[in-house]
Amino acid sequence: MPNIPHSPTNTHASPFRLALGRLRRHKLGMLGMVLVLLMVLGVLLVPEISHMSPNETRPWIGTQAPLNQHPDCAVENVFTVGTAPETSRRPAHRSHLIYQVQDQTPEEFRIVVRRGRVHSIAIGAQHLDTLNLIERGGLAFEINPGGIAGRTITPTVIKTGAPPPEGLMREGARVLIMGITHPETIRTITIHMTDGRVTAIHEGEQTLQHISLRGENILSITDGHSDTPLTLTHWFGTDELGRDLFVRVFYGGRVSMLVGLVATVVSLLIGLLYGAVAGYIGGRCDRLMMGAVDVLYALPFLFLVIILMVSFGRNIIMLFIALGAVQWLTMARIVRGQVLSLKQMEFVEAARLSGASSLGIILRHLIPHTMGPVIVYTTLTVPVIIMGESFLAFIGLQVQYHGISLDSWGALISRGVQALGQGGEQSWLLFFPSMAMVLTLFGLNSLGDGLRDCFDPKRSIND
Amino acid sequence: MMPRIFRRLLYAPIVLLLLVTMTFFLVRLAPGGPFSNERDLPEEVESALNARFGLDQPLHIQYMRMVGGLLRGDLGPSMKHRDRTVKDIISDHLPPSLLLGTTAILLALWVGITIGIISALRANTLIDYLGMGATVIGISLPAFVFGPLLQLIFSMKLGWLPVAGYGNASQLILPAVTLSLPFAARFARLMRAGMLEILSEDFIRTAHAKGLSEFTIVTRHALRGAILPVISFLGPAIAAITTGSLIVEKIFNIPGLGREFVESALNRDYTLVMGTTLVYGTFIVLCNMLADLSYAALDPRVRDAEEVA
Amino acid sequence: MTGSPEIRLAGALYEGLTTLDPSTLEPRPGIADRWSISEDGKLFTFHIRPSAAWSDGKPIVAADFLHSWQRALTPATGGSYANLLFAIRGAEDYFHGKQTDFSTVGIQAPDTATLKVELTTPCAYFLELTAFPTYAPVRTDHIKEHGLQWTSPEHLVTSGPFMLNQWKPRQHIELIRNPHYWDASFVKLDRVTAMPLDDLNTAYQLFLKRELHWMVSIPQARIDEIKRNPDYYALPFFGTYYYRFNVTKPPFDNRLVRKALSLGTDREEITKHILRSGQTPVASYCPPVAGYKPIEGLLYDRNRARQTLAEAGYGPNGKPFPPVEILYNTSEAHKTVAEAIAAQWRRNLGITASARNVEWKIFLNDMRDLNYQVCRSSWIGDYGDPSTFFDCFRGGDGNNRTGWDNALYNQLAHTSRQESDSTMRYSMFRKMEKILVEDECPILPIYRYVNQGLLAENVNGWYGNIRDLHNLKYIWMED
Repeated sequence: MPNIPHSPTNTHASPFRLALGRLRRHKLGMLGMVLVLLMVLGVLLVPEISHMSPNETRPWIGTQAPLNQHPDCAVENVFTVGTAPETSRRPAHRSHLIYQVQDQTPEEFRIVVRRGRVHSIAIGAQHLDTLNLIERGGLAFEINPGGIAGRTITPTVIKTGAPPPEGLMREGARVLIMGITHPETIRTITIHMTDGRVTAIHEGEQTLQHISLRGENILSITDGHSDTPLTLTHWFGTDELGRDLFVRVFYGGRVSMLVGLVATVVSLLIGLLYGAVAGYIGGRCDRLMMGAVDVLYALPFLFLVIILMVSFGRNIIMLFIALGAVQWLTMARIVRGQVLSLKQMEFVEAARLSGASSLGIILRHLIPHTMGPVIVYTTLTVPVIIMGESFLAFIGLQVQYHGISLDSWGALISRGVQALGQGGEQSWLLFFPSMAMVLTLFGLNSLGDGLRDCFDPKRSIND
Repeated sequence: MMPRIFRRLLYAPIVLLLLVTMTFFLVRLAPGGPFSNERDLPEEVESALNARFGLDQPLHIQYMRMVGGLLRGDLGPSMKHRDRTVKDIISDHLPPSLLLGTTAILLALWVGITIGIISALRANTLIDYLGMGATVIGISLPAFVFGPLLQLIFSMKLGWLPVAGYGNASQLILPAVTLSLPFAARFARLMRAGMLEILSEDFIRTAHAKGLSEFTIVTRHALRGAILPVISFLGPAIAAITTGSLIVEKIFNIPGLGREFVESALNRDYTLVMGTTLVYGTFIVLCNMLADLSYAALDPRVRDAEEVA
Repeated sequence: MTGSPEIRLAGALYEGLTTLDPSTLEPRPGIADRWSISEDGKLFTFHIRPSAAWSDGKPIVAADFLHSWQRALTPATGGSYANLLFAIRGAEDYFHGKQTDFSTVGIQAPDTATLKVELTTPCAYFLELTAFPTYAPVRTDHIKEHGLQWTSPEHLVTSGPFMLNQWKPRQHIELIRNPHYWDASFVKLDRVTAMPLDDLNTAYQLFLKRELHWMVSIPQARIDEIKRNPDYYALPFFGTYYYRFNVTKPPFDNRLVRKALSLGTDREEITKHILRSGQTPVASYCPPVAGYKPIEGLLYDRNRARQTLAEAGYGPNGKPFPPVEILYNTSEAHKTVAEAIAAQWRRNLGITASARNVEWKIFLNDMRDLNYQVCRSSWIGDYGDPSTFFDCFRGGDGNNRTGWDNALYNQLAHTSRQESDSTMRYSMFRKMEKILVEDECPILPIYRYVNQGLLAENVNGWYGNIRDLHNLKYIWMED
């Protein structure tokens, strides 16, 4: 065992300071540390300061690309005079709100052309023989990918079996997704509020006691003081329920990091104590204790964890224990090796002669001296556990807390993989959670490497 | 040396018995039985099935029977796929997993050793930094991100390789690359470390002094010593690759044993869970034993290095 | 055998006495080329066509049906669908062991070509049942001879247009034309390969590369992209997605509470914004079938929902509503719906609602033991008559799983069986539906399923129908 500090008991801080000094010059290690700090900060702060919560749904928006903007409202925005408004977080705190509302009842048609003739006209699962846009009235328009309204379609008659009318289909296209709306006139509704309660509702000349506005019909919201509309911006886009991915990624990071941290601490505590005791007592007891570790080490733990989770639910506490239980074995081996060589040192002998108890010696003298390798190993255990949890989430075994599935990075990535389209459609659902996770793991691994090099300068990067 | 081998051999059956026992009780105590389904199964049918598979017996009798069966090498029929035996299912689905695992390990060794040697020979140059940076990424990139990424690029965008499936060699490339990535990265790091250590030894300096070419030095003299840490990591790597293949088999739709294992646990297919767990268990126990033995056989310094890993 | 993939294959391998028209689903002659029905509608006499033969060349005889149905009615070899045979006189008693002599069951084979079947009560859809796989003949002599191996390609002998050529678990199942099938010259496909793919994204890849010609489901998360594929189809389906209430525990032992939750569910939001593939939002249970028109049910009405909840004694002026948990089995599709509905209840009724998922087997267990508050469910009809939907909510039925037992409902279910006039029967079914989804609400219907998939342009003879049944016999490929 190289580089065991021959130091008296109370100066074990100096190798630390030495190591940290070295870390400052270790480029990859520093990069790792910065990354980890940034991610931790993001995970702690973003869900707190955001206007949105990770489980707030806006189904009418659906999956939207990054930087999507829309009026800041909830699915149902209800205002009743004398009560608190029911809407999203920010508008509820304004004194004045002006809504532009247009009731819409868009219907979605799908027209398929096969061999130059209209093959089918369908609205949902219902199929039509003829669609007469002239009689039907309303505004017909093409719906482009992403649900965006495209060019207007000239009213005409579409018949199955007949060639599609001129200009209906885009050049070379075989499918047309067409929306028809009967736009109502745009209404303007003004809400007055004081102290978080609605005081008056006006629609034009009319005064109302109660109004309910559906999010999908709201065109814009202003607060009367400025013309800038109140909008929500989804930096990372949204998922199929219209939930904000930015908040969800950082919230998912909380789950992943919490699991990583707690399970590591579990493994650290068990491993430290077990290894130190085995190494300190030595002899038969040591052989027995390490034999047990060897037996457990040989068990295919992940398989047992899967069986356990599939069988008895996936409580987060269980996961801490299950993942922590695997990792403590290695920790115990490392600590034991260190303690075995440390206990021959004079300072331990001195402590024993001065009448310190065995436990006291272990806690006060031995464990602190094993800190170098332990810190290194701990740093490298966190990413292993984060990955283990994601692995389980990916095969469908997400952690739960009180029965509610927590969307960790692994769960978000799993959803992203399923949603990824042929030409890379909806790739943001995979990209952002993956990036967050890979950056964190990269940071932790680099930091671990850096620390290892610093605590043990003779050994450079190895495993 | 000898006592260590004996001790290991003694552990193996203990470990396996422990595994079998834990698996048995975990799945039996789990809610839901092998025969429940969306459509309610008439009581008469259910009790007939229970009797057929001996599930009407008390638990300890079932346990003894199961252990007895295992000792005779009889894993019994599957409870979900009732016309097939567990042995059939394992012999159908083990080969794809083995083929995938072997390909991945060989690939990882080849890529890892090459990168490791190059990094060591060009230590502390840009090439070395790039190589080692890449290994950290390799370790940090989970298979379920890397696999779909490869699919997106090489199958969907470029159309070079099949997306998924099993049967011909081209279908094996993407899953094997996905599975090998973290192991290639680890091998590269081990190789680099081993190489650096050997290159600083006297006999290499002597060889340099004698004017031997770098290629000769590396292949004739350095490689043999430097590869020891890589070999000692083979055992744990093979064990870890079996778990990794669970995900890779799922992503690439490979009819391997991994999915049978997960599904049998979900389906409460008691006999099949036991069979698949035992196959994986035996394999991992053997690998771990092998690894431990190789630690002992190798330089003690290597052993210490391994324990920190 | 359970679930549709197996039923699809069973339909290609086995033919029963009758088969269904690929487009209208009306019964057509199968192994039996004609039949007669007695005046009272209880006695069916089937005449087996002389050219009917097994895939090994042996003629199919009436006794084959007798033995196969006996096997299906024996608990040790029967399955979840044995109850479909209960229309036959004495079948139920035999199955439950109340009668051990099979000759008491109303099935007789007086000669090799005649099969007489006697029913307990007249059954309007019996000729449809005889087309169902449970009624198909199997080679009982082979099952005896080969034991568990009888389904292997070497041993499986079939009665339908195809036979099993190869079966590679998890890879593919290959069917080839059965040369001994009575209508073999009509069958156009020489070979059919079925691939059991769990991963729908992979399946879609294969479809795009034309390695698959027909995909029976789609990766839902990519619906917006797939809709733009000209080969995508969506058709109404004979199934309903609904939630069950556990009526044995408060607060859901109060029917007003169940009603309030039903009124407070915005089904259109689910189908329009979340599922987005043509599912019809419904507050009724049984889909329209064979002339039956379902009632409307409790449509979304936020204010009425709140009032009803207040009537039940909860809300701002009453007691606080306990937290509600929707239980669903782990699946992405169920998860989105459950999360959306929990969100709706939270905002529409001001209650604490959340969604919880468990693994399939745990889910089944919890449902059976009534260890849930609200849980996700669905029902898909087995034959073209409303009774396939209503029967399971009779008190004590194994598929009821709500703890709900309503005397009037049970009574109506019983009398509807005795009734032969369809107008009368349908008015009874409508009454039952009203009890089920408007008055008592042990269930909360959400949407009508669609059957959606992808079908290559060169596949012909494939007809869309409400039960998503596509007899491979009629399908042919254009070059």
